[in-house]
Amino acid sequence: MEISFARSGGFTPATNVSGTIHFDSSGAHISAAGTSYRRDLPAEEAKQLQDLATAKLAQGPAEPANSPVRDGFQYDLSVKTGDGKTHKLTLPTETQGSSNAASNITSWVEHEAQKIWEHGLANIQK
Amino acid sequence: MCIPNRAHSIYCILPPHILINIAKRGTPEQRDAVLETLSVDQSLRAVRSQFSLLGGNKIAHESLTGTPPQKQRTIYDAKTTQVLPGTFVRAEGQPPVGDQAVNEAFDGLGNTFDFYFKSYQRNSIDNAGLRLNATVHYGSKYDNAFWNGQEMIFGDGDGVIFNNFTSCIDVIGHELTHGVTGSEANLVYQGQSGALNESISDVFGSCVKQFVKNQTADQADWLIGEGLLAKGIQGVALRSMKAPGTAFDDPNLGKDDQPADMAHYVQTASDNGGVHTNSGIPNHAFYLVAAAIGGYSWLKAGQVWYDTVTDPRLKSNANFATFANLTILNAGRRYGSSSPEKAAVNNAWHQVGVLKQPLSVSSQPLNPSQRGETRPSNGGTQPSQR
Ligand SMILES: [Zn+2]
Repeated sequence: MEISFARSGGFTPATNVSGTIHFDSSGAHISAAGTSYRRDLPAEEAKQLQDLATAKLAQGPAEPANSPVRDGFQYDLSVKTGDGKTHKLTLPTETQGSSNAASNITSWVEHEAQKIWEHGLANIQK
Repeated sequence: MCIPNRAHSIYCILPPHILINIAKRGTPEQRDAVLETLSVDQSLRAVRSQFSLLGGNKIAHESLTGTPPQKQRTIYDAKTTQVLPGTFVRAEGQPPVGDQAVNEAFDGLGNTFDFYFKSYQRNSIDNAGLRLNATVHYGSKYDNAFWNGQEMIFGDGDGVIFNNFTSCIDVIGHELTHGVTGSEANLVYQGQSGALNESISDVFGSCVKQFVKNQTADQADWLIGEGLLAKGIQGVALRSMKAPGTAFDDPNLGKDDQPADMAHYVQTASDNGGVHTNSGIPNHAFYLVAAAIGGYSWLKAGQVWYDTVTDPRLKSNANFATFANLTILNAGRRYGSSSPEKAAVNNAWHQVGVLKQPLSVSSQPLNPSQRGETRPSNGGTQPSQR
């Protein structure tokens, strides 16, 4: 399995970020194209993430246009499964924030995208 | 208050419901006289608006009874968490607190409320006095402000690229206007209807700023988020309504990619189909109208846009062309079918390529092709691919 995610939208322009998660026997590795961002996930978290992604795909596509949120970030997910198929979906917009990232893939992606964004900010500060 | 020596002063002493009946059923001369009378008295402007928008606007009870509506603002502090609404920090009638973001949000909501009521007799987001709630200090290094369907939420910015989002009055006006649009046409937040939704928020966000600064169209900067970019970032704002695509060009932030016309419409799956990108097109149309008419932009150009946002014929899936045609109809209804205001609106939509040529049909009825109604619902004239 390979998972890619992207953040777009928001009131401000150019706050887009994207990342890719590669899975292997030791866990998973996150990278963000065009940046030096790297993060290794332990096997347990990697397994949990795979389960969340599988469950989300089973739910089918959401309908983000029905959300009342305006200027919220848009989070897109692309999952390449073992059979070689790629499944794309836009995650429903969160309105309450996300303190429990482990239980919700939207929250997980939101947190990880923010980490990548802040990584870029840190490089600007240097 | 009525002016005693006006030619039609008889209408000053008539109650509002009779004025409306005269305007609806009287001769053209009587109608004009009634509308003129209504226009000179601030307390009667709501009645005038009610007549003008028959079948359109909802007018709040408070407006018609002459009781000024009261703001009901409440500000909360998320304390850098993402838990809403956060801790209560300031309510209506309470003095400023020691937190600048709280006071900026409080004042910005008040200014926007005043703008809508004084300009269009609108009583808050729902035109029925809805409470105005906002949360500040949302998230950590949070580079966004948004409307979640119930309240306005402001991040502090990261301090590297973006400053505090409460620091710009037009940002606050933008977010509150999402509530207004949501309670009216509720334009679907995707593609062209989504870009219209965004543009309407930029239009009235800019008008709020001009209203507060008492600026005419030629004095205004027409920027959205001026001052929001941190020191060292190469740019003046997030967006420019006067010159879309020129607000910033920075190695860390990238380049402003807003188009100014349909020839450069951007097709993309990101950002709900580029709602913050293609909003540059209707944004520029509004600027062109306001610049052509001159004076305070919210009085005529803004009025036409407001009439359109509250027009029941504006459906949630409207595209640029249907919105454009409604603004032309509303300009004609309010200012006359041969008026320079209607011509300015018509010309602007042609100039940005939303409506097709010829430009000389401003006082003529438009056929469906000229009105752009034969175009696909979500396509531009010559959309470019991204
Ligand atoms: Zn917006």
